[in-house]
Amino acid sequence: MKLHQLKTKLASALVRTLSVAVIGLALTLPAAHADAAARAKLTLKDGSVVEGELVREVDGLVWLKVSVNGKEETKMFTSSDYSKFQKIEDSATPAATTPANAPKPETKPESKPDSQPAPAASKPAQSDSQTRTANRVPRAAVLTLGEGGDKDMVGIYVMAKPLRDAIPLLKKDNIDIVVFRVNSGGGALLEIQKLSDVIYDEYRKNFRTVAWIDWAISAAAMTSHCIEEVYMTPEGAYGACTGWFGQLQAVQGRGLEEVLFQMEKISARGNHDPQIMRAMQIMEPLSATVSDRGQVQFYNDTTSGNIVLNPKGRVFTFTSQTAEAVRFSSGTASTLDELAKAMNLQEVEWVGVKKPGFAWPICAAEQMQMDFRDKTYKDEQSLDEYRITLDAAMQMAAQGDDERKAKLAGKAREAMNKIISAINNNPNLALFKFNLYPDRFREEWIEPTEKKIRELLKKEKK
Amino acid sequence: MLQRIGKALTSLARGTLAALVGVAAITPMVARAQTGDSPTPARVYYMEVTGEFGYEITQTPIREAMRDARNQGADVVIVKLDSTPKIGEYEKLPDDKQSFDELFRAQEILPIFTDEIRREWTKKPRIVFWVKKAMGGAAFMPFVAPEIYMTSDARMGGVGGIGVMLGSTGDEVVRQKQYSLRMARAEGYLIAGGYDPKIIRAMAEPKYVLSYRLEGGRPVFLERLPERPDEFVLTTDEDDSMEAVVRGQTRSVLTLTADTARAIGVSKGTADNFDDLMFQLGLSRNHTMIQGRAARILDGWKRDVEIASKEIKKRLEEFSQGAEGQGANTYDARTQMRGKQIRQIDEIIARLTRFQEAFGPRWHGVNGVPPVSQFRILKEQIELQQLIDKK
Repeated sequence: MKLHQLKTKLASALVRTLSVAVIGLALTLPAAHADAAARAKLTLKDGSVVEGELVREVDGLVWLKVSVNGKEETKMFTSSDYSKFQKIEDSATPAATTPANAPKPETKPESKPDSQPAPAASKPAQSDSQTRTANRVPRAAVLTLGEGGDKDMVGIYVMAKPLRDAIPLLKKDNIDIVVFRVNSGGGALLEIQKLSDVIYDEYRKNFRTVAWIDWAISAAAMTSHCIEEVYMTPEGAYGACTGWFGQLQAVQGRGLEEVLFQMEKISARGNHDPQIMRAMQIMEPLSATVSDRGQVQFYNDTTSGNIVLNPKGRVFTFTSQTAEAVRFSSGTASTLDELAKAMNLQEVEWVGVKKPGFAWPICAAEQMQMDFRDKTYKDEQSLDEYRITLDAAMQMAAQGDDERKAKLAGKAREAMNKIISAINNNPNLALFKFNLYPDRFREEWIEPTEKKIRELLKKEKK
Repeated sequence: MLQRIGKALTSLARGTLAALVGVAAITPMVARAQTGDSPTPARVYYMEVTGEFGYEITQTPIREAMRDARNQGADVVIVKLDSTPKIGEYEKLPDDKQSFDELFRAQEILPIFTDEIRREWTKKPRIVFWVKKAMGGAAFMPFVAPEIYMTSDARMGGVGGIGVMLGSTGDEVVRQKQYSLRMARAEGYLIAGGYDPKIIRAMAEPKYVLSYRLEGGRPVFLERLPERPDEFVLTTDEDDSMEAVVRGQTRSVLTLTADTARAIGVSKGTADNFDDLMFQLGLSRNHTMIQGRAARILDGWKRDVEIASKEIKKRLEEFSQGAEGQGANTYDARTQMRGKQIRQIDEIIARLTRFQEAFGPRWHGVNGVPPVSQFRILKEQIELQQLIDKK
């Protein structure tokens, strides 16, 4: 097992504007605006009612745009969350529930129901996106976040850029559901916010986005935490998010507070109680009670809840059993068929090509992730070799005559160019292999190295 | 008090065992009666997985044997497991060596019996683990199978250390993080296999207190010491004596024996020979043994990895001797010698790469063999030396 280090230096300063209470309010406040968009009302199983703009509806899953503390958020409800779903033809918001000074949220075009993935050009055009989805079998794709072994580190093998680059491919494939299969032992904090943003801002708004957790530890759990709909494999584990560096030194002080706050906000994105993540980050106890109606209340002690999840003095990690017991996960599945069943999909088309050794079809977007990891792996393996060759060539050249210097300078330049190529492909390698910020790599490494090589050649000309 | 509890456990375990044996004796007859209607007897594939975990017991030969079983249409696959922890060629490790982190080595082997079966077999076979010794990382293997049988002298454990393995290194919260993620993974494997995760906690976490009682013949686990006569202790929060450690009778962590495993429902039965096992599986009169290649595959791996290990060490020695005489020769001689060294390095790299899964950090440490990356760098340096050498 390789121990992964959470880099804290790069966590940008955060302004504390949201409170933990955001989560509790999310389900009770109706949307505070009125426009011409379709609206819907959900009666939840605990009896409360949620009303908001209907963003989309797929196979019993409903996305509503609701207002939380004056800020608009899109929330997803599964069929197990609500007992009644009602579309409201008249879009007028009931005055009694609308605060008089509530700000009118900006209506983002991409959040409207008709902003669903466009149908393939060859398919007949349809006027209503909901009808479009309802009239055909949902198309689903599996995207892997890490593949275990040597290709699992967040920040090197799990990155926001290839995920963002994959979205056009998913749209081209007419994908409705994206399942992120997570198999990563963690990695760098610097990538978590970027990953969270691309998943929350782009994936969740375009697709029904699901996490299927096999091994999501530390940064991998923090990345997945913005996803609301979570399933686990039977052997799955999720948690252990303590930040550390060096010889198991804990991140402390302001750095720790910043990460705790960052994860409070990401918990709100995933509609997860913030106390869960907190117990995964620091040694805070956690217990929970599941009511007869299925409502779950978490407590940061070991006595208030019926189920003790994390005793005092421990760091918390979910197993599939504990995650399902407190409804953090919506089910446990070891195969695609089991997953589809857990997701209440009557029918589903898993898009991609079946390949030996893979439990799911490989779609174009997934192939892109695999290719990215393969290339990064090759580069990562060779970087040390290139670097040592470069250093050795430079050292030997410094002691040699002009003829030797010329030969060795050529060898050094060859090694340098290979390094530059690897960093261009994956800029984070600059951080992990050279301890340099990617945006400063040219200035702090390439230019000085080029200068040294030029100097070797200058001496040769004298 | 503890001694009394211990004795009570032993006597009850025997009583339970006797009762369960009675049940087991009936079960095969039922099974025979059921399978007797079947026109085709069960096709049974047998493999003996023995040796040092991670070196001889490793994914490539096991995967190949399982694929052979699949190709031969096996209905039942019996895996006899007998691991021998050792440090080097001649030195064995004590059974109770705390080897919890071999979980991550086991993680590369376990999917062969889970994910790969789901993926590669059209009809899922019945997987049976028959355990003689499963210590260290091997202790995680049987838990992937819903059917475990044991020999009467079986031992399964040697994975203690959660909560203490990192000593006082670093900060407590980071150590707890490391323990937590490991424990969750190990528990996950038991959950997937249908076993209570508290069992692995008792096997792994020193001083975790676990007792059990039987309700309707099924164990109910209690995270405390026994409080009633029908409750029995598995682990306590006390330290073990050296005497207990050497005899494999620890109470701070659980090492499963045939009796204990049977009592708590991990083992379905105790069998000391193949006929006994087949009888308990309900297959003694209705099966066909597949003449598989398992023995050839698994023994072949052991032979090949041993040859590779010796060859690597031999080449490394030759390389070192060649390097000593490097400076005293002519240009042609030096060129020739460097060519030879590069060939030696290439041979070492090829063998290290082929048997990479067997040559873990412990093997490299014990045998003084650097990792592949260093050989690649060494090769690069030799090439640089050649580049600047002059006649």
